[in-house]
Amino acid sequence: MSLPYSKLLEAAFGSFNLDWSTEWSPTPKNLPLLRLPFFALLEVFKNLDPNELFILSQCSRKAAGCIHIVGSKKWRLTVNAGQRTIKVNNNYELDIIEKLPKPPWEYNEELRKFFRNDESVENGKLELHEVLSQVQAVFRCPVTSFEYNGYCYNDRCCFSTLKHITQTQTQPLESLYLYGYLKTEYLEWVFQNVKVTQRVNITLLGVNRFSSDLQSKCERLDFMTLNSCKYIELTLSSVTIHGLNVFMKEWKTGSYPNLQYLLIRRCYLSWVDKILGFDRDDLKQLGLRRRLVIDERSVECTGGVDIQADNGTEATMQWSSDMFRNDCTLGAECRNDYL
Amino acid sequence: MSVENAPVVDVDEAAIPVEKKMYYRFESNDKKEFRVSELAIQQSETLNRLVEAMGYTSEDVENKPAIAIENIDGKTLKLVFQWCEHHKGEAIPVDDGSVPKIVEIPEFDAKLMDIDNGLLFKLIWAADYLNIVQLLNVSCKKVANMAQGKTPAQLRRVYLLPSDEEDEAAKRAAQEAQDPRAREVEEEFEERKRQGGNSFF
Repeated sequence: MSLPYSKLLEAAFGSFNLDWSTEWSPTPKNLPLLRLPFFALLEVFKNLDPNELFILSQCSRKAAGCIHIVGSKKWRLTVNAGQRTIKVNNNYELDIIEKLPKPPWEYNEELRKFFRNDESVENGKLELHEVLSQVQAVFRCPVTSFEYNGYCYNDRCCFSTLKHITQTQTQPLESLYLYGYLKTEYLEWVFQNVKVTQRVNITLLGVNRFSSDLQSKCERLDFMTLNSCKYIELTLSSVTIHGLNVFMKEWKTGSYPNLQYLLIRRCYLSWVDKILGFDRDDLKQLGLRRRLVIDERSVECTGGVDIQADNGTEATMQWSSDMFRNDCTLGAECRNDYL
Repeated sequence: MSVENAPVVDVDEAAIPVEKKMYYRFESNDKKEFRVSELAIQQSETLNRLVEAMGYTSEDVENKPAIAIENIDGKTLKLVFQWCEHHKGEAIPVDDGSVPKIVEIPEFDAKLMDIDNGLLFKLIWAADYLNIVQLLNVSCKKVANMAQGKTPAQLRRVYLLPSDEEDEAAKRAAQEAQDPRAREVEEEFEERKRQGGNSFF
């Protein structure tokens, strides 16, 4: 008489093969993870944090191949090429630790500075690139933010990673943060190839000699890859008052429809210069801290003026002849808030 | 096994409303019988839908044979029903999507799952089969806890994960089992290569 009920169970909820006597049968100390039913395996994965899942993925290709069932395609990666870290969901951090000898210091003629030349260390530059490839293969999620904050001259590592990102995913970056001494050839490539949808913050130290084409683009702030950005913060010595004026007029007529905040540093205005009728005191940092809310995330700015475009949208425009914010920690806090 | 001798799960009768006081009888694949309250059964979506579909009265429960659960043995089923009785009346949890999932193992559950991994494995299969969401949550949390602080090599041992080489060897063995001629052909090919022959056929 037990059969009908059993049949009823099977008919109602499908047939299950609970054969536990396999070669992977558990022992008192071991449990065959990949022999668990799908939903149980999913539950185990859900209870592991991204770092634990990545370590688990290193056990075998088979293990690595099933981790994405946890829904990791929706996760977001932040790559910091300067610190050689990869953050998952801006919370779980993978640090890439170099096991290589320290690179030598070398003098760079172009920038007239001494740098720790990481490029001279064989394979050192590839570690971040390789780990990122593995993380992307395991989680199958996009890189949404890229940061490079380096005084070291390891920008080859930085740009090989950035190149890898733009070549392997169709989704543009949400934010790009570059700070430091950067080679001109790499910068030119960034301006021409890296599309960013929300926030760009580029601060160049030293003096870059761009090609004439890029020089004119920098002077006019003419970067098509940035035209859908909401937040642009640039420290480029090559921006001219004429270029800024042209940019502002273009913005006013709707060429940068999403822009909500623009900060240009290291741009020198005289007391007679005017941009859209505003003089330098109106546009420069006024020392008034306020929080702008962009995409439900707050960004702190220290001044500027709110200007309305022809289509009614409003943006905060700020100009500064200074290299840095008045309060450097504010910049970091602001960046972390936004990313 | 007679109903009189069946291992009955401890029931806190005071906690059960009078109108819900009905006990269903279930039988494991090794013929052990259990009496489980209607409220406790609600923790299992599978069993709850089954008893609803059957529409048993109190008399039917006593007079008709026990409901057989042929995929689960008595030892595992006893743990399952103990868990259900302890958590009867509790709401079925909903996944809030947090990463990682936040699951706390109550003291009772921790004691219940203080078992060897063979039995834990069966308990997870049973929780999955009977669709007992919270039991699956806590038992999988226990499995996830095994990974804490482990290296990939340690994880391979704890979770019995074969290496890539072992996987490939197993795959080759499975292919050979399906087609014994394949190995002979491969050996013949290797032999001809050693002899310097360019053409196999």
